[in-house]
Amino acid sequence: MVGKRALRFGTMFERVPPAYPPYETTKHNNGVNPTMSKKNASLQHGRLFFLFILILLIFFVFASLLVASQQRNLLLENEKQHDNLEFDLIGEFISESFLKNDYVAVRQFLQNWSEKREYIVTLTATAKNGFQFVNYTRKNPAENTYLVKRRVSFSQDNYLDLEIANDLASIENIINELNWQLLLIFSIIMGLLGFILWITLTKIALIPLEREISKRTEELRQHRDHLEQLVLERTQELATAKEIAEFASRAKSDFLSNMSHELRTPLNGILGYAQILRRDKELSTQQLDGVNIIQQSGQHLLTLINDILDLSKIEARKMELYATAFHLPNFLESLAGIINMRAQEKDTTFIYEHNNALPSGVEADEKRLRQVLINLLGNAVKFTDQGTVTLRVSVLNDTPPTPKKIRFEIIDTGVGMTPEQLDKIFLPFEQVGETERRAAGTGLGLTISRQLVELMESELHVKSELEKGSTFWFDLTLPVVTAEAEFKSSRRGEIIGYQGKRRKVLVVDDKHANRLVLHGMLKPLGFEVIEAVNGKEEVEKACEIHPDIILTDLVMPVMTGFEAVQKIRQMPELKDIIIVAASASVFESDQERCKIIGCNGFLPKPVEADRLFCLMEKLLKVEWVYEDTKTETIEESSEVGQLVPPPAEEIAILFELVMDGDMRGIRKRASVIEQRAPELFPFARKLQSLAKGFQEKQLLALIEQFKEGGK
Amino acid sequence: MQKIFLYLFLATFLCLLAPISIAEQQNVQKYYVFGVHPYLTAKELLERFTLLVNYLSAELDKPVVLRVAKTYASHIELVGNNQVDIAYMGPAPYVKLVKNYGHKPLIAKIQVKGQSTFQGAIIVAKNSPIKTLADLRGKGFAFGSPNSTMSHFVPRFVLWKAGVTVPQLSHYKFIKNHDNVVLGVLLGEFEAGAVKKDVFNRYAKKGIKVLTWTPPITVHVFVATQRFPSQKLDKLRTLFLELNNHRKGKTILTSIKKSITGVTTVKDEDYDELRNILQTVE
Repeated sequence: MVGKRALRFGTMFERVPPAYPPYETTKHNNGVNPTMSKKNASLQHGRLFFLFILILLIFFVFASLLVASQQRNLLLENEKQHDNLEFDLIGEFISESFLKNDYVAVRQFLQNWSEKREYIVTLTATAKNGFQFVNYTRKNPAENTYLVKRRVSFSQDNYLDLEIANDLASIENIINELNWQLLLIFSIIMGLLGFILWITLTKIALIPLEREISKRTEELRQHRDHLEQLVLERTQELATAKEIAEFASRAKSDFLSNMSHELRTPLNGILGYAQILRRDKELSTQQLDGVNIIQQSGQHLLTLINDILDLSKIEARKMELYATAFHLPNFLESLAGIINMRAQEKDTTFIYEHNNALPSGVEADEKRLRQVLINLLGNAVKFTDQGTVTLRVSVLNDTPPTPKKIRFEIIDTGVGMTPEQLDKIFLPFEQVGETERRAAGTGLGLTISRQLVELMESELHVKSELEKGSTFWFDLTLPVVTAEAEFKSSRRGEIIGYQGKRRKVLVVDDKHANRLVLHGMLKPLGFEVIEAVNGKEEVEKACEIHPDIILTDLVMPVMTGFEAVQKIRQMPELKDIIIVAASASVFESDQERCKIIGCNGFLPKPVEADRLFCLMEKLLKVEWVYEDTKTETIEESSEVGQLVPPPAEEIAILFELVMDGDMRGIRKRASVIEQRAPELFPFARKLQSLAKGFQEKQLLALIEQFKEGGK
Repeated sequence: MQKIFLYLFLATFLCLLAPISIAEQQNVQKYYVFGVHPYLTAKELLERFTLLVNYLSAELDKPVVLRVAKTYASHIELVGNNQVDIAYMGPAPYVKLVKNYGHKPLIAKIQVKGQSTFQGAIIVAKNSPIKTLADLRGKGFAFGSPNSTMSHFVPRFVLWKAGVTVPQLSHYKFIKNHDNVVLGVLLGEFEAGAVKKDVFNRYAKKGIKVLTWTPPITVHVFVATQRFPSQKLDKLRTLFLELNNHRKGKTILTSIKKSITGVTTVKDEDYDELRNILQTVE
């Protein structure tokens, strides 16, 4: 048992960590020079001495008080005893004298005795019968007296009651005198004792103690040093770990960026050529469908890449908002146009409601706001097969001063969600709904949207009911600024050329495919396209041919686009030339850098033809020639959501095809209708989409609507 | 004058201590001795009689010294044996003196408050149940000195006359002096006591009362002895009687006793009454 316990203790001691002192207590010992510590020691000694003296003094005062009071009582008692002793003698004398009946002698004696003792204030001697045998009173009375009584029996049945009142003052005087003497003696003794004690304490007791303390301090210091060493090591380890982690994180970011860049480059080819091919009038419907699928798949891939990149940025907290001033009504209308197109492809009505109080100019990150809205609206359209999708934008605070609080609501009458689903929708890669709908997204949209809304210092709310629909909304507080309505580049049909002199375009890219895409987009419109494969060539060709516009890649061998642009800008004759950077880079910093070195615009890759044309229109001031200018007005005037039906004979053919259940035939017919007139395009698209989904009932309803209308 | 006083004082002191033979020699040669009975302390007596002694020394042919006897009895003996020249005596000792040693030349008697007799009283405590002398039977009684006139002989006679004899008292005691008697009664040690009038007066308010007054007795007397030159006796009587008129006379007399108002001639018959009492008592 004992052994066990000992063992346990032993292990316990081993396990108990050394009691490290708090950092502060040892701090001053560290690196303090010896004179300082000496000073400290003397200071501590001084304090100790002061404390010692104080304790001594308190003790002294208490002792004095105690002794004084004790002394007083003792003296008083002593005095009484003394009186009693005297009384004994007197009593004997009295008895003796009374035996001889010498009363006079007694009387005389007591009188004389009292007179001789100055402290006696009164003395009375009263016989048994009450006779006052002696009644002595001192001439000067006293304030305080104490009584001493004694009965002296002098015969068998007679006695004298002696009563002496002694002056307390005289005794107090004696007490005071005694106290002073006592005080003096006490002081001397205490002083001596204190001195001896002090010497003993400091020279004998404290020195080993100090030695012990310094030993302990040394131990503690070693412990602390050890601890510091440990901490240092751990810190280094942590720093290394952090470095590794940061490196990994950076590597991940770099990887993602690079991957994104690398993925975009081939996508540029795919999407570019899909766009170019779509413009080809020679293509059959089947071929067009294929091209469309290529474009849609590419677009999907691009969205996927963009979403992943955005999410990784958000997770790395690298996502930043770049607020710019823009025209809110225009922005919303263009958005509405895009969504309306998508809605028309399905049997869904899109309604854009806005209130008149909308400010024209606001300041926000346009790109990200668009991203959020398109995402939410896209989802709404995706999950609504029949019914309506509404974008409602309203100003919450109608008071004039800025900023305005604006609510964006996206309401659909689609499938809706269960509360369980609602809980999951904001999680990354979570998709709800049927499998076929899932295929159409990355599952990152809502996650990103919510994060972006939070970045905009708001919150994305959602309420939903299964089979009834969902509502997403968020409120943004946006500063109101004056912003002019930008030139509205709306789709007015196919661009087939431009007016004015022939423009020279220098396309610089180290990748052949990329050059070909731009070539394929611009050449048919009548531009003279010159190509260069790197920055060096770019500068040379620019000098040589003086192009109207340079479309340059940024990352290239031999000389980068950045260097080339800088060089070109340094040349006086080329400094006003229009340069647009076209890059798959996803770094906002690159875009900023482009602006700084003197690029007039930035074109993200994969290149969107519309975006390119829009940019060229703005920078080169070219006036586009559209395929058919007449239809422009028709489409312009047509209300959103209103389909223009084909002629009655086409409706009749379609009706027959639907009745036969010939979906392929409907799709072929739709292609034919599409070719007939641009205003029929939405109708044709809708036919295509419904036929693709084999939605016979909807097809029949659509056609019957116009058939009857036609009647 | 002061030198003389000092001288006298020393001389008296010496006399007190000196053997009688030397004193006799000195008396014969140089001094008249004035004897006093020890009714007070020697010192007190010296103070009281100094003025008288000085007066006599100045008027007589030889200086006069004071001699205080050790006891009343020795005083009588000294006077009777002519070992002093002049003496101051109480009435009872005088009667005794005459009885034992025969007649001595009388000089003068004192007058107290104009009277040459004095009274004594038998006293009891104020609240005492004793109403008559007869009540004293079976009670304690205090006398002064056995030789005292007023604290023993006279009151004892008075008691006897009232039919109360000493053996009839439960106890009685001689307690030296008048003051002791009064105090003894006051303290309750004795039911009754005998004191002279002036002592009673002093304590009258302290709680005593008079049971009965004694008959008046002739007061103290100055006598000469046969040693004193007889041819100078008349001169001595004159000197005493002159004190009544002497400018310092009153001071000299009152210093002996405050109540003394004068001196007057004296005859042996004046003491017959007392002689009678004493005879009866004895």
